Amino acid sequence: MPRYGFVIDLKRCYGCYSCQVTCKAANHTPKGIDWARCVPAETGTYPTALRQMLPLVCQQCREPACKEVCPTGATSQDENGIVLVDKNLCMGCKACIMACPYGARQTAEKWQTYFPDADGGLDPYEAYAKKEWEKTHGYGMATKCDYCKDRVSEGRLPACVESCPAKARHFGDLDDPESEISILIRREYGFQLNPEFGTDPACFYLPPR
Amino acid sequence: MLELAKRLGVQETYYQSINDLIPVRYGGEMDPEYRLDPKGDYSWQDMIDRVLKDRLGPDKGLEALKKTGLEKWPTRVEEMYWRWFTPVRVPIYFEYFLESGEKLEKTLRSFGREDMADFRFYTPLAEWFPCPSHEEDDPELDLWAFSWRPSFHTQSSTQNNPWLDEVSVNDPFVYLIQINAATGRKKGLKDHDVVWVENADGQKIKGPVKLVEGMHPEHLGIAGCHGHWARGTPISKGKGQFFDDLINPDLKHTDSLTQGSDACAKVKIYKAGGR
Amino acid sequence: MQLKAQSKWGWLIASYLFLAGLGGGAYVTGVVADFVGGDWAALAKIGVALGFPCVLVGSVFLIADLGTPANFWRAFMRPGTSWVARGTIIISIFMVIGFLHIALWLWPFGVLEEGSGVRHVIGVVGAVFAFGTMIYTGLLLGANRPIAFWSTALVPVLFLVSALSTGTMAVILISALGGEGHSGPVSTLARVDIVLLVLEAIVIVMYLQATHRVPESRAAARLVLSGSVAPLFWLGVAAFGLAVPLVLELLSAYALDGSGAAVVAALAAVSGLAGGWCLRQVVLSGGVQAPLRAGRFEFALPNV
Repeated sequence: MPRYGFVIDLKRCYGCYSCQVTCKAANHTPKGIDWARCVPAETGTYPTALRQMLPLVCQQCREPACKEVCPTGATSQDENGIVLVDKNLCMGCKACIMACPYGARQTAEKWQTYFPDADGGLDPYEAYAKKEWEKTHGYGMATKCDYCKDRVSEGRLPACVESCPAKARHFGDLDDPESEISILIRREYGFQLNPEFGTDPACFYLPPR
Repeated sequence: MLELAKRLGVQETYYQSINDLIPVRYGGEMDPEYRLDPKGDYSWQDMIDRVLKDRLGPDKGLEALKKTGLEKWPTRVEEMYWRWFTPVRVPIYFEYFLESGEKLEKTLRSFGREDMADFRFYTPLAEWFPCPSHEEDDPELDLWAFSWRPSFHTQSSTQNNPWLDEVSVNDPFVYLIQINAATGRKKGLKDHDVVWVENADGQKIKGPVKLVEGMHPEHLGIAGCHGHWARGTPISKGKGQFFDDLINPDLKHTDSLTQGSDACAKVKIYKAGGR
Repeated sequence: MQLKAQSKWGWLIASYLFLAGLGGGAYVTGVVADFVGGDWAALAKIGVALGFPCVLVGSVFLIADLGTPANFWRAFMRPGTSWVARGTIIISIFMVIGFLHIALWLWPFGVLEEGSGVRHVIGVVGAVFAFGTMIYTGLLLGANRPIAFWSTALVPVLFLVSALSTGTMAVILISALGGEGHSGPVSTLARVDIVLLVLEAIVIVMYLQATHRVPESRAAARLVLSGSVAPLFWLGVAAFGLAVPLVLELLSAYALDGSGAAVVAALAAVSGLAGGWCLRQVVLSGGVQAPLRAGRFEFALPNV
């Protein structure tokens, strides 16, 4: 079984937020929930300052901090290393949101409409999105990125990888030493975010400038 | 344009220019069947329909497109690299500028309105002219304001998209006025202090300030094309700042030749109170 | 870079942490008083009677904070998984014992009034789980490794001391409201509470002193000591939680006597209880999550 992983090349990312918006479109997430996010930061002082974007997805850790604190057993890992939340088991205690070092988990309290029509109703797209969201997730429970599980099982790439205009995101199998991402990690000094939390993420980053 | 052309009675020229433009812009000659007859009378819809049928096939006119809403086709080489297939030469010396400058000057003089253009700009060689902000010597106006564009917005048309608006709100730079952190601290500003930015002519815009490191100490950045005010754009209304408010659309700040306006303005910045 | 504190756990969780601690502390006070016996009997009954209802109300706050409250029973199903699950079970056992203790001793059945042996056994077992409840509220926060302000060994200690102190004060307050007057035991209890308050002050100083040398810890300390949480900390915790009750209890225990002392002690208790709640709220609002590091960059997580 492959262990799915990401490689995100920080040199290439220029912060267009395509991943964030594509994820929203592909996964019908309600307002305020962004499974794929971009976080900007600056370092240094003028004239040696640098600005960098950090695209975030769920890191699908081998030892997930969220699974450790989940009291109901709603959090599980499938054979591909993807951390999943069972919407029927989650009770919404938010312990996993606190424990995740990468801010990967979010909850929605209710459906907030983006595109209200004149009477504040939903347009056809949003009505569909709301139906899909309620079918797959819901309100009050923790939700997270699953590396577009359904798309990947159809042989497609995750939505954010497909849409990245800078080709900064790569998706593949970490266990296969000949896969694109394994080679990238070896050759270009891939690293994991905040290894001190001992989570062993499946998402690797290539160093910024 | 079409309406105007019809009223002026020049629709024949207009139709002909459409006939000429389509092969240039989209590559490949038009089918004679769908060419606009210069003697005919077309509405805008008719013209779109003809162009679509010509480009995509007889069954894919405007009505079909209205039904599907989306049409895909493989880009042809002529379409992508249309410049290559268009027999034009790009001039290096603009010697005709001299001539047209003189002609324009004569015409305007005959009206007694030579103040309507700046004839300095009509030179045959590319030349740099300082814009008024370069000659501004008021020590109070100590910052150069300029505008930059976030990569996720297209001109001024996407700001009302709620998804992109959410991105802009969460981005720490887009809806804020950015100045260098050291300069800001010298002026006693903190993040999200509301400030006025005022140019030499007293025009000013207001917005929260953000102190950033990646900015020259004498510069002030404003993300482009925000500050919508129309009621029809409820999402983008009142968010961000409109940089062009700092630049007067008068002759002094405009290049007569290209109608391009200045890209920077000397400004001062002071607290407006509130956060 | 501006590190922001978490906002997902708010006043509902603070109230739960406070009430769970208060209930546990009051129950332990009651059991100890029952062991002493004699004229401490009234205080023992008050303490034991406070245990179960406080924790019950606290649990209601906790359930109200859940995203899907209808699923709350699932927390009992996997005791091995996490501190939330283990804590739920500890609290439930405590609530059952506390309820039995009340039902069999105070109301509606007075069967334990006669022999003190069974009552003491129940009390000791209950007190063990009461301690579990008090410490667990700290362990719950400590399980969050990215939040350095919470994941120190001193949070459970701080919450335990505060819980015992607020529990004692609750017993003093109820006895004063019940018109018990300022009897000897109440005075002694106030003296015990003075020690607890001093201890709590020391633990708070140690807690803020012994932060990790990481940006999130520094940001949390700044937030609590001089940032947006500072008013709550200095007024709520330092003034109303520690200084005011300390002074008033010193007054009531050593300077005053009679009804005046009872009123002052009751005032001290009210102030101290408010301070106990503020302490939980301060610790929660100081929960700054660690930034993500890549090269020389540090990225602050937005809206956690």
